[in-house]
Amino acid sequence: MNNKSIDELDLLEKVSQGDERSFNELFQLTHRRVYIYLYCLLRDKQIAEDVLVETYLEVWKGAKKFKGYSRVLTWIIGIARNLGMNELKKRKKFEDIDNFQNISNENMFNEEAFSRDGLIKKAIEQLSFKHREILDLVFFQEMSYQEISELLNIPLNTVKTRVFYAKELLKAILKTMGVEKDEL
Amino acid sequence: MNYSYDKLRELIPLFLSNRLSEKEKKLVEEALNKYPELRHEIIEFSEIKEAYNELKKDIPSPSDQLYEKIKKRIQKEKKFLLIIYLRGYINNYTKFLKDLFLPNRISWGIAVAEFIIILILVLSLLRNQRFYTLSQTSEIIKRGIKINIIFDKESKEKEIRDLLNKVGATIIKGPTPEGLYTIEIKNNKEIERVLNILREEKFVKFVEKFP
Repeated sequence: MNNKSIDELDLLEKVSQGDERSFNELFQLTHRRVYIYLYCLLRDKQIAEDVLVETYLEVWKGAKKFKGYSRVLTWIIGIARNLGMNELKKRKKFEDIDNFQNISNENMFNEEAFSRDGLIKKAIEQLSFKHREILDLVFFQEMSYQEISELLNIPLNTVKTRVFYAKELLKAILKTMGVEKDEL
Repeated sequence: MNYSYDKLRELIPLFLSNRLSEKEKKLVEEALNKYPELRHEIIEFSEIKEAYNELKKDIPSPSDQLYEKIKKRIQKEKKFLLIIYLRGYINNYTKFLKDLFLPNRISWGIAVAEFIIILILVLSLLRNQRFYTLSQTSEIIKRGIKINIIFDKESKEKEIRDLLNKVGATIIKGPTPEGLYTIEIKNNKEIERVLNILREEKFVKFVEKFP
């Protein structure tokens, strides 16, 4: 457990006793990463913010329920994930995202779209929901495999396999986009 | 610590996201020189990480007002919880009162009936409806021998006066609603004679020495 985790835990303990100042500090410490997770999940700033508000309301109400089995941030992202999934189901967007194939054509002919980074970004957007999510958690949230396993409630080995499988899928998508090099 | 190639390969994404311990980091760095395949992996994941860094730039910043929104919601929630708490308290209180009264309905019914009877009696007394026995009255003040007496309703006033003059008695109280008079004679020794005279009169319905 690093210093940040200890700070989060200490703050959450105070939040569970109704300390609004600690709640504010915890919010400032974690909300950006939770927002990024929600934005990647929901792809809409307004909806991501609404779900973020709901998430922190749950954190405030449920701080006493935190058992300490995971990092506080992982726990908060877990709450955000559940609420975000509900939102997706409510808006019937879940299928659209899971089978995300509608790569936008509007930027296909600009310079960025033809750059290597631009193409990889487009390829990431074409990944299935679960493969994109696992890469989001590794590279956006910089979570360990153990934390991802706890968050998604899947075995540790499944997390590792999924990360490498997501990379292979990316390579396959890039191939269909005309990128055929040894790397990716 | 000796990690296999597969184990080291697994660590590559965490190496790039800086989630490894110092020892593990060192092991991966050493392995990169040893296994060219690992270098290949690291280049591929580096490109993904780079793309993620670019994607991060595209994410709009969250609003500055988010915390204020949460704070307002918490205040609202607190008020709501207070209402729920009060409602619960009122419900419990109502239940308590119901539990207190319902099983004892009969006892309470009797108590209420008794209270009504007492109330009626008190009101009757206030309206000067008094109850007497024929052998006594309550407010005898004068001295001498007293006698309670009831005359026939049909008897005339003159007959009554004559009789009282005959025995030397005077009315000191009455009549009550029941027709009861209290009379007095001065001479103690004559009480038996007076009583006999009074008892013999046909229009005297009741006569008794005042106790």
